[in-house]
This record gives sequence, structure tokens and C-alpha cells, in this order.
Amino acid sequence: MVRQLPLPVTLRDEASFANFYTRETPEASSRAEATQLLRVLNNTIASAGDQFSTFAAEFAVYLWGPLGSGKTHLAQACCRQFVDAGHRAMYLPLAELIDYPAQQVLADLEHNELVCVDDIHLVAQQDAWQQGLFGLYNRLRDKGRRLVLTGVDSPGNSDIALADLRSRLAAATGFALAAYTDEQRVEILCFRAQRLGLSLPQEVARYLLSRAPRDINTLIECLHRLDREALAGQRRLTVPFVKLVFDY
Amino acid sequence: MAQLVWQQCLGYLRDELPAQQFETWIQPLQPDKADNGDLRLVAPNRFVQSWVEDKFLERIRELYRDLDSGVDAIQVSSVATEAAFLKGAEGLETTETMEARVKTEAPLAERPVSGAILTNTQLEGSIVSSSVVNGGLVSRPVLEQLKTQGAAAGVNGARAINTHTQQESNAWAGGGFGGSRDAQPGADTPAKAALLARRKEPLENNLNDKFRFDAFVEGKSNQLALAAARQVAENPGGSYNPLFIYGGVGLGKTHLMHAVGNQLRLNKPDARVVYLHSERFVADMVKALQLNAINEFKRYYRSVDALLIDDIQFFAKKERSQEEFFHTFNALLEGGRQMIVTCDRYPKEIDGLEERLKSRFGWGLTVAVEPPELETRVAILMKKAAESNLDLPYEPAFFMAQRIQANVRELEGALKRVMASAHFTGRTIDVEFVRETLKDLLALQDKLVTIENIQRTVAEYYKIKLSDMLSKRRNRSVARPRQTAMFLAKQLTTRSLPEIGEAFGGRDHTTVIHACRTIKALEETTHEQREDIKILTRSLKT
Repeated sequence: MVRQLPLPVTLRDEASFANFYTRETPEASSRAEATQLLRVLNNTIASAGDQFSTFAAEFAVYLWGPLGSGKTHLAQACCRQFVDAGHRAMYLPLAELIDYPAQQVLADLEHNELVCVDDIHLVAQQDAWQQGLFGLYNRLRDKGRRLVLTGVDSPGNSDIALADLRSRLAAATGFALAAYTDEQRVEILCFRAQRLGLSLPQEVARYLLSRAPRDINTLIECLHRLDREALAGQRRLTVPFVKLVFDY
Repeated sequence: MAQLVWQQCLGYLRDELPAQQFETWIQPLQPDKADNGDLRLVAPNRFVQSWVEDKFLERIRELYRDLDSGVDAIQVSSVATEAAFLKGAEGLETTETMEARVKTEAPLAERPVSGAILTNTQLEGSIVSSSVVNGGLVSRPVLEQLKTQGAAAGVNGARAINTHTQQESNAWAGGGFGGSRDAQPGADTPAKAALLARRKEPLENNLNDKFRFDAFVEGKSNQLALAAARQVAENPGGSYNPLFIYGGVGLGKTHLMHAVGNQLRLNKPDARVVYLHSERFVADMVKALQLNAINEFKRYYRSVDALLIDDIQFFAKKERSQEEFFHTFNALLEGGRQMIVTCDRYPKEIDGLEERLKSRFGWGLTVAVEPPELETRVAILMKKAAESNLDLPYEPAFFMAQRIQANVRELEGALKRVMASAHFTGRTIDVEFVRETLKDLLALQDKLVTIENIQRTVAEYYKIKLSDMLSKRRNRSVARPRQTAMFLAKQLTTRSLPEIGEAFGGRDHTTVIHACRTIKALEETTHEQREDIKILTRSLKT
């Protein structure tokens, strides 16, 4: 007998450019740069159909910033844009892959129009990974593909041991992402809730922020859980409801 | 239909899996309906294939059953497999694996047993993997085994796993010297057929026509290398053979190499010029060995008029590749063909490179490219801006060149950032705008070089203890590094001589003066000291 699958009724909240928070506040004017960055990435993606001549200089983008500044979101959003435009894209979270042999993980990836390598700083002292990524860089460049890299350090401050790879980070179009302030975290939560079709009052977001781990990724996970629980219990997002869900 | 069901399946998986898992492993899969009605999911490479088989295939099968798709069986394959079968593209065993395998090539019986998936069986020079043995299913321990290997490789470059079929191996192609799927009469395998076919096609020279002599900015730092390159372009195979260009990253070695190649082709359009990165040479050789087609490989590389190989330092410790390169090198030189090689360091300093290769590199002309001086950096920026049709006034160019000194790539990166900002904000580029746009980069450049930092860096460089810097010991192994550190402190900081003396264990300022004079004299007379100062200065300032 065919089992009935539950319908996926929650709204999708995967990383995209549309749900990337870019509002500028006086405390963090570098958000304006994020808007600019989105334009650069959009430009990169829009031109993906045009084959670069080999050795194109502008094929790589490097994003750096502290944990929770939106690097992963943007890397995944780039992949999504490419896929939606009918191209092949590959997202590589090094945190998850670093224990595997680099040569095998990176083999043949130049067949993708875009490769996003997340958290390159994690391989700063791993020769095989650095050489593998350097090789991938060359293969992608020679084939006119696009490459997005993220890391915590600016190119000049990077402790990537392989100079050839480090200098390529420096040559990429680079953007710094600043850490979010608490006020921005609250705004992000409300913004993302709105995208999920939820009404999250600011005081509820502030309450969550004062109790939950404050990194934005965990906060977004909390939001997703609230979304599911609210749907299941037909509840609105209130402080007592948050208390109940997370047992605060 | 296949697409539709797959899209439905994706919908469910997207909801079930964390975004990261979905983007990494599921999104890149391409559905393809096999002739017999089965579904084939094509992964970007074998690693993803194994991962999906291990962690997601069961769930995908379940979803297909629940969606009543009418699909009986689902298999996962990889681009390498598909390309090998359908397009004749390259793929298969990685170079590291192969180098390791070639190195450790021993009679089959003597090879170590390598666990569940290492069921490699030598079969006419290629390898059959468990993915064939198990009928396409890779067992759960595959990823665990790979993981262990990854960890081991991080330490000592242990052997990696081969997971491809003989058919796939035979169908390799593409790259420097392969790449047609049409079978050739007289070829006993598709791979050889590909090679034979490739030989009849024009050589893939890989030259980038943007890298010409007229696009190269000359300065004191590179004028000797440029003159040599021009000479070689006009008189290939002459006395500057091989031409060995060395220097740090991002200083224009590759540009010069391409410029020679382009000029050679301009002077003689049918000249067979091939540029490739050393990694590619190794990869091609590995494939040739794997396919028992090494003679084709040899013929290909020995038939060129000029062979340009970039970043030769990556040959280090790859003995089989060095051996092959050595013979190629000799054959080309004997035939009066031109060789150009680049490297990040002086030939004698490449660890893990055979002596006979090092000595041969010295037969022709060895030239260095140095980091560009201020005027050249300004000129480079102006030229690059002009190439992008950007009006870059002199003042902001000078400001950037003054602040960013390490190499041309960093200058390029900074210029791209400025150009992007100017483009999107519509603002005019002036010094203030540059300062604002590059504030994080510049803050870093302003990183203060302190005496303590110099002492630590110099001590590490010469492998002496930090305390020796401050001690009274006067034997040369300690005194010379100490003098070097004093010299650098004088050059790179604004501290006074008495202050420097004080920081080095309470020495008199005249000792500092003496140290500076000694090192200055040594720098002018010995290559070694000059290099030391250069490397130390660079690492302290970047």
C-alpha cells in the first residue's frame, strides 16, 4: 500500500539574495557594502552564460568576516541563483569535508558553472587541501567558471600556508562582512519571520535573543522550530509561547 | 516525467534536510532516465556519488516508491563516469592517487590488503573497484574509509582510494593530449583511440592572448626577465634555453611566459607552443601510465616547438613525474626546442626536486622577477584600469600603490574592489573614495611592525631561540641573526638606535650601528643575505 506523505506546508526559507539582510544601521555601515556585494554577485551570476576567455581575472569572489556574518548564507544563495538559472553549482562546506581526501572531494568539480567553497580558513595548515583547492582554482579559471570563496580572514591576514593560494584570494574581488549587532539580530529575526509568513513582534525576538545562543545561525534555527511548533499548535508567537517551546 | 518526479522528490528532501546538506549533496544531482526505465542520478564526482549512495539513496528510493513514480531502480553515477561514457571528458583517478600508486607499484601479491572498498584488482593496467564488484552500490564503510584516508593523507600523503572501472579508465580523454570519443582504426582501446585522434588535431596551446609583451609593465624589478623573455621570443631554442623565471607569487612570471608563447605564434603561426601548469603535466602523465599509453604521452610532449611549464615547484616529491619530465626536457633541448619554466624560488632551493633537474635548469638562463617598486606599481594600476576602460586618476593610483606593496595580485584585487564600488555607487574615484573602499585592507597594511615581532620572526626564520636575540652570546650562528634583526628594526620601525639597542638585551647604540653596517655590506655582496632580508621583510610587512 502506498503510504501518504505529509505535504510540505511550511514556506521555504533556504538562503537566497532576497532574504539576505542588508539594512544599514549607524552601528554597522558595512551593511551598505553587503548591498553592493549582492550586486556584484548578481552581476557575476547574470554573466554566467558568457564563457570567460581563459584566465579571466574576475571570476573569483572572496567573502570574509566573522562567524555569523552571513558568508554561508551568501555562498548558498549564489548556488541557488545559479541552479535557478539552469546552471550547475556545487556548495562545499569545508567544515564537513575536511576529514576526507581533498583530491577526491575536489575531483571533476570544474564541470560546474559555479563552485562555492565555504570556510577556506579551515584548511590553512593542510597541504593536501590547499594544493587541491589551488588546482581547482586553476581548472575553474581555465574553463571560464565562477568561484566564490569564504573565510574569516581578509586576504592579507589569511594564514593559508600555500602562498599561491593566498595570493589568489588577494586577487579575487573581495568583500568584508561585519558581525551583526544585537539590534540587527532582532531585525533579522523579524525579517526572516516575515518571509516565513509569521508575525514575530520585536519584544519576542528580543526575549529570544536574551535566552538563546546569540549566533545568528542558531537564532534562525530557533525561528524555524517556532514556525513548526506554531503551525502544529495553531499559536501566535508570544513570549509565553517561546518560553513553552524552549522550556526557558 | 523523470524531471517532474525528481522535482517533487527534491521538494521533500529540501524540507527534510538541513539547507547545507541539501545544497551540498542533493542539489547538484542531475536526474537522467536510463533506457530500461531506471533512474540514474549523476553526481559531480565520485566522492559525492559515494556520499549520496551512503546517506541519501535509501530515502530517495523510498520517496520514489511513495510518489508512485513507476521507477524500479535508482542508481547514482558521477560526471566522470558519464563523461567517460558519453562525452569523452576527463576524470577518473586523481594525480595524487596515481603518483602514489605508481610509486608503490609492486607485484599484486605483495600489495597490502586495503579493506572493504580497496578491492583494487590490477587488470591490464587499470583498476576495478567495488562499485563494479558490488553492482553499483558502495557499502557504508566507504566514507569512513575515505575519512580515515583523508586524515592519513593530511599527515603523510597516504594512498587514496581508486574507485573507477576499467571501462571508465579506458575512456579517459581531454586535457593536454587526449579528447576524442571517435574510435580510431588500429587503436586497441578507446583511450588510445582518443589519443591517436587527438594527435591529428591542432595542439591545444592554452595560451592566453591577453598576456602579451605590450601588456606587461616594465620596471627595475622585472626588466632583466623581460629582456630575456623578449630575446627568447625572437630567438627560440638559442642560448637562453631553458629560460628559468623565478620569483614570488603574483609578480608576472606567468604573464611573461605567455607573452613569449604568443610572440612565438605571432612570428610563426604554425609553431607548436604548449603552455601548461605543472599539475596538468603530472595529471596527463598519470593518465597515460594508467592507460598504458606512455609512449603517446612522450611523443606528444616531445613533438612541440616550445614547452612552457608553470610553477615547477609542484613537481617536488613527485619522482615519477620528474623522471618523465627529465626525459622530455632532454629530448626537447637536444632537438633545439625552447623550454621555459617558472618557479617560486631559485632552482637549487626547491626541496624534493632531483639534483639532475636542478642542474639542467641552470644550463640556460635563470632570471628573477622581484616585487615591483612604487613607480611600477602605479603604472600597473593605471594600465589595468585602462584595460577595463576606467578613468583612474594618478593620485588615487599612487595612493593605492604606496599602501599595497606585496604583489601585483593584491593590487589587482584592490583595484577590482575600487572599480566595483565606483561602478555601483557612481562616485568619482579619488583618494578619499579609495581610502573608504579599502579601509579594511589598508588597516592591515598599516599593521605596525614592532621590534618584538621582528625578533620573533627572525628567530623563527634562522631557527634560533628568541632568548638568543637578547643574550650575550656572540658566536656567529646567533650574532648574525641578531644583527639581521637589528638591521630590520632600523629599516622597518621608527624606533631610535638606543631604543633598538635596549630592546636587544640592553646593547649600546653603536652596536646597532655596527650591525646595520655589517648586514648592509653582506646584503650587497652575498646572494644569500639579500634573499634572507627580502623574505623577512616581506613576511613582516604582509
